[in-house]
Amino acid sequence: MFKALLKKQLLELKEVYTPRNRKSKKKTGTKGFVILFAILTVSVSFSFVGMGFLFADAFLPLGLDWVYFMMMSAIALIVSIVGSVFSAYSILYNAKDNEFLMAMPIPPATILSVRLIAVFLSGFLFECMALVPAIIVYAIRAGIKWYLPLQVIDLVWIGLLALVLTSLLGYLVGLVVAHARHKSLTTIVVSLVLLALYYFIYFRLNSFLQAIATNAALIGESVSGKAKPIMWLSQAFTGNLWGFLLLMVTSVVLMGLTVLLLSRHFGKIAFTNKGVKKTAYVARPLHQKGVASALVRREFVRFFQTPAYVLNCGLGIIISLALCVYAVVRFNFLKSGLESVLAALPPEWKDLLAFVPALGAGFMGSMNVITAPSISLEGNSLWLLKSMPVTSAQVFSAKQALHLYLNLPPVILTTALVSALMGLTVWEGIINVVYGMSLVGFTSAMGLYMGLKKPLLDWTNEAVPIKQSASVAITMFGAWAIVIAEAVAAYLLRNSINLIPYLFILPLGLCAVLNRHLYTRGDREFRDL
Amino acid sequence: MLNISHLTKIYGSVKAVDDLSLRIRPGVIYGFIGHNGAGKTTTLKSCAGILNFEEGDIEIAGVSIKKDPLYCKRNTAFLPDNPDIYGFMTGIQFLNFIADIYSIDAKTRQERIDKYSEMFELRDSLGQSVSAYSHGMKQKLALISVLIREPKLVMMDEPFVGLDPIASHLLKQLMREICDKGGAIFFSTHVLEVAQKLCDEVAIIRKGKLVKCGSMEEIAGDAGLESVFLEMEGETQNV
Repeated sequence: MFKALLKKQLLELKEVYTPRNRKSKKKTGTKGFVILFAILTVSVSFSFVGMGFLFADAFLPLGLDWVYFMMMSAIALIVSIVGSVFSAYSILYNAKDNEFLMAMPIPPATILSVRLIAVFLSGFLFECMALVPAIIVYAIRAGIKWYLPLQVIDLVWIGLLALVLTSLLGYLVGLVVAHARHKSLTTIVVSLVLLALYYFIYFRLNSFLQAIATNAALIGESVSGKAKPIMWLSQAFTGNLWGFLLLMVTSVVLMGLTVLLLSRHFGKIAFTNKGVKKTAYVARPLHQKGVASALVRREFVRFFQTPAYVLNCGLGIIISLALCVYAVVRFNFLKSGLESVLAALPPEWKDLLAFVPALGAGFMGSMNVITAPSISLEGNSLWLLKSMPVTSAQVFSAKQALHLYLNLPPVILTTALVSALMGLTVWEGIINVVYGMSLVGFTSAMGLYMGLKKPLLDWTNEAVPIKQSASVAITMFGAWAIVIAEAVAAYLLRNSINLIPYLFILPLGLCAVLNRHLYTRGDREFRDL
Repeated sequence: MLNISHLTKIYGSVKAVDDLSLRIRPGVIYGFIGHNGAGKTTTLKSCAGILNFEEGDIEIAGVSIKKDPLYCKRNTAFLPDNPDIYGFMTGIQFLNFIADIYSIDAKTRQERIDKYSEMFELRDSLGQSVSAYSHGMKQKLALISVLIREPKLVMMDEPFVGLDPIASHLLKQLMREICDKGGAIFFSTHVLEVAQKLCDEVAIIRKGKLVKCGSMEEIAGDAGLESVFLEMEGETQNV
């Protein structure tokens, strides 16, 4: 039974990453996606290499190898939890086939265990991004030790500890949401609070790390004196077999207890509907709208009623607006700070930096890939659009309109504000705003194009097309690639500075090409879905 | 009203519908019968403009669905067997959205929504999210969204599945009313007793091919539709 369920879960995961061409039923673009994914994983891992060297140089000369692994494991735990906590709730409790599986003679613990494996896999990937570089850095600084295989196995035990914390957090989110009246709003607020907490820690991380590095000996002494179990657990990485066994037993026992706890409440959380207020409908006057505005309104309702959509594809908007508010409140402080930084730079850099607001806004905007999962989100209700007297062009326009309406104001505002803070001329400001807008246009077209090429309509959880679909990943990296290419081009053109403003032609040109495809051949492709 | 000529729909190497021709006149309730996987849903979805097809043509009120799909869709309505409708909307938001798409003015939509939601006892639930609806409630909401458009041709796939007895009875009455006003109904069903009582004409399909079609009297005769259908199935299996 467990094997069959696991197979189903893995098949579901496989379908997500290797979508089929719905017409030919063949897998498409698998290799490309795997390569892209590997590049991203390795690039993120590199950011932990520097952190590893900082700690290794602070702790290893003092013989505090276990403190080095304690710190790196703690960071890996945080990365793993933050990376997978948002999907934990939806994977565990919001899957479409929960009722189907619960109707079968399968114990809830088995269903839960299989779902936990899916959460574990996503968390494990994040954990490895931090801990594998830690092991490599250790090998570089301390040499390859006989216990290297044990360190690799320890990855699994740390992964299990991360899973325990992630699933407990997911359980808490589930409890809050299950009893909330406005489920979508509650989910968004709870997630934003967690995210704010994460950023609060993140922005203080650098000074925190420096403080740890300078007080290495003190930390080692303090932990070994007051929190011996943590020392023993950390020694699992430094060849202490008792430490290894303790870590293994701790993680397995905690995991078992977590499964026991969650499976007892699984049904309650997955099927409770206490929050839905059943009030009688009060009729209000209905107003007629045109087809185009009805379709746009539909996109808006979907966006704001789907927390995963807001949190994953609209986070950049929330951050941009928060930064704008901060910039307005602290305008003079930021302006004087930026002016002093700019004054210290060589003159040729100043011209080059005039391009920064647009690139920054473009980078932030590329996080908001609203159009990318849009077609996949139609899912099983796609028949409605296809049976309505609307053209695919009208459907595409509505999807792009949502993207543009939500993205253009923050991008224009951020770009204009940063331009003002940097003391740029009006003309430079206008160029920046236009450039930022062209990047938004490109992301909108690219997202829709990829959504059409790599649709994922047979999902069991709406978070899947939003978080794990190829269309979202490719669009996001594609937008980043454009921003990076533009930055490199601007640097290469630094001696012909007058040409730099014309760089916005690239995203605008690509946007035109993609839109041309969407509004011509895209019609047939949409009808074939 | 609906003219299907030599319709062929292929999935990969399998012919789901094979050279099917049917003609449905105004004022007629037309039943479509066949075993599971016979090609009923594919035919209905092709007529609704949801699926593209390789060969043949479908005309609605004399207009080819290939040439002017929007005209055809404006004049027809399709109700699938398992209506997956937008869970992110409330019932009233969904009906209002459908009314916008079909350009129904505010006064008319208000009257029709009131009439049909009260008829199907869904009015009190219109403010709730569709995701909180039961299967039957979703079926009723989808049905109301069809009725408020007052289409000339209604195509339904197993329309009675999930409906309570009162709603089923109402639906049968409404089907007849639509036809009396000059419209037509084309629906698939496995419930042969219902088909026999309700339909004016019937078509039987097997493995994508039309086996028999005609008026209910011609097809069912004295033996009854069930006997005829089972006999035909037996013959085909023996061959």
